[in-house]
Amino acid sequence: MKTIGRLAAVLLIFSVLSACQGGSSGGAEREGSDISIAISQTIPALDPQGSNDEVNALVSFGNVAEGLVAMSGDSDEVLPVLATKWEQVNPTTLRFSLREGVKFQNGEVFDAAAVEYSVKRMLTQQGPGNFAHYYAALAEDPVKIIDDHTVDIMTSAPAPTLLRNLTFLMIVPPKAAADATAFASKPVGTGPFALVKKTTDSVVLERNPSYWGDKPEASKVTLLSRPEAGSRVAALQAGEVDLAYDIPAAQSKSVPKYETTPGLETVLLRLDGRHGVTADLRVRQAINLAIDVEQLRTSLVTDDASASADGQIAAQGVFGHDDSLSAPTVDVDRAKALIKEAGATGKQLRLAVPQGRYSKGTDVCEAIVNELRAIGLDAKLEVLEYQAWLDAAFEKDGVEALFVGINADQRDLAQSLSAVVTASSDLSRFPADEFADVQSMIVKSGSTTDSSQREQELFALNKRITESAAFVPLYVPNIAWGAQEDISWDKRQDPRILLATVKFGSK
Amino acid sequence: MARYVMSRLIQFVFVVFAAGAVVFVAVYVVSDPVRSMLPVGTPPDVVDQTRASLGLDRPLLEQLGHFMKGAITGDFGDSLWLGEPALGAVLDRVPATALLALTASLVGGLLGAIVGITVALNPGSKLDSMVQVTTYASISIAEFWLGLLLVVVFAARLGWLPTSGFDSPQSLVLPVVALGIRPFAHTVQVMRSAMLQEATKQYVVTARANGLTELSISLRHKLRNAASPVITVFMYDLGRVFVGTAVVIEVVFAWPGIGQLAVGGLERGDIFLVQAIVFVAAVITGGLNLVADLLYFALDPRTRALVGEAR
Repeated sequence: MKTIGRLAAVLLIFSVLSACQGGSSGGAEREGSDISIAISQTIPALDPQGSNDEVNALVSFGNVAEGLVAMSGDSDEVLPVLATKWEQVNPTTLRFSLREGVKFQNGEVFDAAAVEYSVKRMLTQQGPGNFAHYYAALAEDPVKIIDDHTVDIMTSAPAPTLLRNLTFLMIVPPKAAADATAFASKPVGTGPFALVKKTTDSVVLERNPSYWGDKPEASKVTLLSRPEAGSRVAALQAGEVDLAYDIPAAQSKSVPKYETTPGLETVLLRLDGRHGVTADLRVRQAINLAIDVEQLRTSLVTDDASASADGQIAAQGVFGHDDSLSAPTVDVDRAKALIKEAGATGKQLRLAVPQGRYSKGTDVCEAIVNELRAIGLDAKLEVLEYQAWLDAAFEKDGVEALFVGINADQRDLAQSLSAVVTASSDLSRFPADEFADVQSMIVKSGSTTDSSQREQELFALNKRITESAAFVPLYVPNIAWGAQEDISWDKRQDPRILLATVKFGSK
Repeated sequence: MARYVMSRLIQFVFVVFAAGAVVFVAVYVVSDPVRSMLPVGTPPDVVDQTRASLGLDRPLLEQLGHFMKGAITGDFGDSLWLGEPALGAVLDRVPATALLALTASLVGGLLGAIVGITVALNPGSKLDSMVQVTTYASISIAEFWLGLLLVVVFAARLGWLPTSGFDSPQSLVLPVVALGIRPFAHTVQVMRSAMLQEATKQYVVTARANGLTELSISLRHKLRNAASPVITVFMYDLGRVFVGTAVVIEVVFAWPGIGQLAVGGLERGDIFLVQAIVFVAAVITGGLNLVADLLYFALDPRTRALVGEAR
């Protein structure tokens, strides 16, 4: 026992010593042009076509792999990448001219055959997280090779959202991608960075020496999985990482640099236009008049959402967002009158919010419940576990009001509409009978290929949805990064970084 | 002896499979797994397709049978999120968790035993009451909070240790402290009271009459008799740290073990991965209990006699 005691003492001293050896430099200086990035999730399968997972998208989209086209970081504009130009040759066909002289990181040649392979491979992707359904509009035989550097991509009917959805379709090398399992741990693309190593908690990328575009400043990029926000903040403070994703606003002062952009998700209340007290248009209007959306955002959500939802279900930067719309002006007296007129005084309204899923979600809902009580409704807050909240979201005659975030990462109002407005969506509680024209407007806008005409159609849809008062758009949560002072990059509305845009300043 | 080991082994296998079945059913009762794995707003036909492609549209009993068959052959299906066999993904991460849990329990347990024996020599002394208060406080500390505090002080402020990660021996220190504090406090308390209990026994009085010093009575005689409850606590803490607390601590310290994997899997509704993790966790817990039972057997002749009578 004495020996064990001594051993323990030695161990203790040892651990203290090794602790001191760590040095007190407060983190290492950057070596050359290497950067490291702390991300909030574990490293998933990294097949560029496999899933729309945040980490996979961060690694693959525009860094390891590239698509024919890419989405601009801060608008709904589509930019050329592997395609130099494109034209709509007829309502169902897009013709792409491909960039010449481009090679994949493994030496395979990028040409029309690789595009055909990639489109077809995308359509066969299976399992959750796959986004093959983004391409449901494609024709049975969707790709026609015109020559080595020209391809036609065809849909079975006019599909105005296809081009934007193609920004998610990464072009992969046919030989390397044939073995899907191996490819998911060692993906290959044409991008500015090649993946050199993937472990359970890190990904290492190196600059692709044969990249066709401008040479990035960063030569090596290490992504480190740091699931806890506090650990990411500490890693920034200690100088262990240069960038960290998803830093809560409450910690914004603790990191050297805090950068936010409004994201693509709109947090809103979905009012049940088919059941309960909210089936009455006057009640829904009253709710919209009673909730002071801007006050909630600026006083409660504060730095977690720097953008207003502008009274509509899709955020700025999404095609179909109407800059001229805004949240209705608060009018509590009129709201009270409407409730009385509808005979809804004292009637029950349940508001369901998931616990911990949305920053400040519960606080905001508590405030809303008070505002609704003030106009005479018997409002009740239900704070639910995520699973229970999901059940409430899909239950046919469930809660009258649901706090939910609608993501428009495909940058088109059509995505938001199909989630919560289209009558066939099981998340939709839109008053489809009362506003029957909305359904036909959605169908019509889904086949208008003329961009400016379609935008007008979507604006009209936005107005109609506002008139239905079926939603209370609340705010647009931020995408938030923490960084060292000397790092800059092109900010985006999606939680990604194009690593080629990372620049080092003078320290 | 062989019969006892045999019956414990059979119990072990039964417990592991029962745990697997309970979790399997629970995943279904709680909610629709397909719903939680797909983003809110996914078109309904895609939801149905996914359900069918994963075989989740089959009757529950058929799926349970399939799961049990898979569990026996070690095939839990492919993790939906990681895109690799679920069991392999879990086993890849067991060593990291094992290193953390074993180091924390051993360091905590050994230091705890030493402190426990020391304070039991002088019950009621100032040192004794100080240790009592400290250990009660330690047991009440949330490890999660302690972990973050350690990171803020020793990594972010002082820069002595890495904030998180799994790349150097130094990165083991903070998580071990955060995890080891409870086994330490537990062991101190149990060791102290077990030693005090032994102090009134006849053999101690005899030893004292023979002129042995208190320290040598403690270490030579009392310790062996007091060891049993300490081992119980040690094994309990090891199991608790391994499959319980490590979850939070791994998240705080970005430790790539099964705890962190479990959190990620649950967040994404990756049922195959979660099932594999629970299965492995059940094997570990059951295994530790088995080891504890066999240790009593070796340490305490009375257990052998009891088992003998019972059979």
